[in-house]
Amino acid sequence: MVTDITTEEKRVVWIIAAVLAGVVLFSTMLHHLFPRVLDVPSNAGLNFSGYREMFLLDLIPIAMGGLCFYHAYRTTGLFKAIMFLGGSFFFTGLAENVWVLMGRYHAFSWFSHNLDGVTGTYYFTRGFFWWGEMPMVICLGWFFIAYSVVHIVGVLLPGRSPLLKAALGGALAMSFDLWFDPVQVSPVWRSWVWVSNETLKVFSIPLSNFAGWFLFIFIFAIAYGRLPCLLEKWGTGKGTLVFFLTLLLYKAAMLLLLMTYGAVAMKYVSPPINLTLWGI
Amino acid sequence: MPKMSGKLLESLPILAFLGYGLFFCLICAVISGDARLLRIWFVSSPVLVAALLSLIKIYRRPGTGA
Repeated sequence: MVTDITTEEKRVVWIIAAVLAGVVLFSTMLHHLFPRVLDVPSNAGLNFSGYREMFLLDLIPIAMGGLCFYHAYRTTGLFKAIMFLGGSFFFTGLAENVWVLMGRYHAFSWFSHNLDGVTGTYYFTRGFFWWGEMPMVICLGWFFIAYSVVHIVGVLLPGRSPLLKAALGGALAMSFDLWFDPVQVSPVWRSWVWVSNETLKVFSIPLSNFAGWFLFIFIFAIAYGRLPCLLEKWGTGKGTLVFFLTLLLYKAAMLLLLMTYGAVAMKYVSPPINLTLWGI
Repeated sequence: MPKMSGKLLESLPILAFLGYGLFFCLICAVISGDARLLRIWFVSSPVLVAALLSLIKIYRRPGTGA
């Protein structure tokens, strides 16, 4: 068990924990009490959308995330565990928020006129705790799914290159999402709603979503794998900052990549293609 | 802090992942009442197989792992 933690690491842990808690508290209040600020779509007619039901549904991923965090804490120490948690919240949380809000405010056309006709992206419906305009448990889901799939690959293929582990982890996460997404967007659940008119779809869900799953896990696993080198080179404080800046850079590159893909697909893929099974 | 066997500790992330999938894929598909959502389970078979194989590998290792 890793228990040693330096004073500087402890400071970083407290800062990350405080930022996580602060953002969740602020976003949750903003979402529920002042929905007009970010034009939160109505949940009218949505199943399981009472506060009690949403709270209970949030508890399941919180418990699963707790198990993974406990494993990370026991095997790598508190500092690295919180870096994985904070890093995944920052990496996926900011990216999904940008994606959701760009879709909500139709902010794609500045990138390419091919995206002029884009109807939006998606929005989340159900959640007691929020992280910006995405449910906190979705961020938490990214954390423990990334953690679990890379751990699974590590158990099955010990000693292999970090790049291979990251790629296989991404592929496994995408395979999980191929079932998870159709269930969660089905009419009874509608945990999020796609308003995108993207031209390439799988199970009526934009292909970019599945590509995003692979890329998020792949890139985050690589970035996290390089964390020890950053800490060794820059020290705890600066190394942490460089880690988060690297994530920001990767995130911007991913956004650019997905928008370029969207512009090309919107121009050249016509009529739209939807790969379905039994009409899903 | 309670003492936990090494094998149980090592399997925690996998159990968490399977537990999450059990509820948000399988049980939610059942609640949806749409049988098609159950029939497409096999698209996630790579990760399910990998998770089960990793559990088997952990528990077949010699020693208690405590």
